[in-house]
Amino acid sequence: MEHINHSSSAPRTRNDERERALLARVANQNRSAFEELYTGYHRRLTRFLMRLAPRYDIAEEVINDTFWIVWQKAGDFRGGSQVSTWIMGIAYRRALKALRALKPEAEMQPIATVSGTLLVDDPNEANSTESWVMDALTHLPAEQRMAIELAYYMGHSCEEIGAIMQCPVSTVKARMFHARQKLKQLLPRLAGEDDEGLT
Amino acid sequence: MSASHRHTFDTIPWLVNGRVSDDERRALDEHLRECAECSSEFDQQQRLHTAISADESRVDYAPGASLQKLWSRIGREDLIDQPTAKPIASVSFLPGTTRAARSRMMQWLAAAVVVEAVGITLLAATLMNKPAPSNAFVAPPASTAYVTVTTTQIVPASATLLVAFAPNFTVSEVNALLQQRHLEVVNGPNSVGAYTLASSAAAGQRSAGLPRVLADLRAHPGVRFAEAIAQPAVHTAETNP
Repeated sequence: MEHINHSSSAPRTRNDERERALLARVANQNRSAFEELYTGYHRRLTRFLMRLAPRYDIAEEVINDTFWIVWQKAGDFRGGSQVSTWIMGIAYRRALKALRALKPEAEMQPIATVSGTLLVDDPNEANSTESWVMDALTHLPAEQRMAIELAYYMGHSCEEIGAIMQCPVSTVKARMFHARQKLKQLLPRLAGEDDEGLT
Repeated sequence: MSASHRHTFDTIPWLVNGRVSDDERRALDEHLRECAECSSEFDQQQRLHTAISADESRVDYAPGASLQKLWSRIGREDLIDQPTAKPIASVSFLPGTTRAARSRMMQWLAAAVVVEAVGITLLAATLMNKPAPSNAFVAPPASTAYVTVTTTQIVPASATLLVAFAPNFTVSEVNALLQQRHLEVVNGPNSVGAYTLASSAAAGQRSAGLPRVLADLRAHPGVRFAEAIAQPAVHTAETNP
C-alpha cells in the first residue's frame, strides 16, 4: 500500500519564517506587511468559515475580527507556536463566538437523510465529490467539523489543532474519531465497494 | 517497532495529511501492513482527505473590499477622539477587547483632562499674580489666551491668526504671501500643522484690516484654513483639519 508521503516540514518552516518576518513588521504597524498576511489568509479562512455558516458577511466579520486582533497584538506574539497556529486559534475562537451569536436558522442546516444515510451521487464522479462531502459535514457538531477541516483542508498536525482549539491532543483525536465514525455512517460509499468491512 | 492498533487508528488522519514525523510514520506503516481494519480505514480517510482538500471552487472571494472595511475600522478605532460616537456594528463581535480599549481610552482621557485643568489653573494663577510687562511676547490674561486642547502655551499678544497651508505650498510662496499682507509667523506648526501668525502692521491697522486679511487668506489656494484667534477663550485646534 502506498501512503501519502508529502512531509511538508521544510516548506512549512519556510512559510512560518516568512510569516514571522511579516508579523514582526506588522508589530511596527507596517501596512503592506499586514495586507500581505491578510491576503494570504483571506481565502483559506473564508472557505473554512463558510463551511460553518454559509454566509459571507459572517465569514468576513470573523476574518476582520481576527485580523483586527492580529494588528493590535502582533507585538505580543512570542513565537511559542507557528504564526499560522496563532492566527487560526484567534479565528477559531472568533468563529465560535460568532456562531453562538447566530440565530439558529442562519447556521448550516443539515440536509435530509434516509435511514441515517445521505442520498448522494456516486462519490467517484468528480462533479459530485464536493457536495457529497459538504452535505455530510453539515451533520457534524461544529467542533468535530472544524477538527476535520483543520486536519484535511488546512493540513494542521494533531498538536497544532490542540493549540488552535486550546484542548489536549487526546481531545482532538476523540473529536476526529467521532467525526470519522459519523461520516462513515452517513457515507457508506466512503468505504468503496466494501461497506461491510467498516468498523 | 509496530505501533499499537488504537494509536494507529487514531493517528490515521495525520498519516493521511502528512503531518507525522518520519519515525512515527514508519511505525504506523508497519502496523498498517498487518492490520486489515486500519488499512481499510486509511483508504477511506484518504478518499475523504482528497475530497475535502480538492474542494476549492465553492468559495473564492477577493479580499480587497474586506480589507478596506478593516482599514477603515482600524482607522476609526485608532482615532477614538469622539467618545460620544455610537459604537460601530462590527464592534459587537469583540465585546471584551473593545470594552477594554474603551476603558483604557476613557482613563487616558480623564487623566489628560485633569493634567490640562491643573496646567491651565497654574498658568492663570501665574498670570493673574504678575503685572504684565510691556513686552509684546507675553500672554494676555488667561481668559483671552489662545490654547489648544493638548498644549498650554503662551502665545504672543500680537497673534491674530491661525493658518494652515496646503502641503504643496513652498516656503518661498508662504513668505511672499505673508510679506504682502504684513504677517509673520510667531508660533507653530502645532500638532495639526497650523501656524500662529501676527500682523507686523501698527495696532490700529491690524484690528481694522483683520476681516479683510482673513477673507483674503481663505480665498488663497495655498491656504487650507485660516481662523482669527483670541476672541473665544479656547480654540480646539485638534478638530480643525
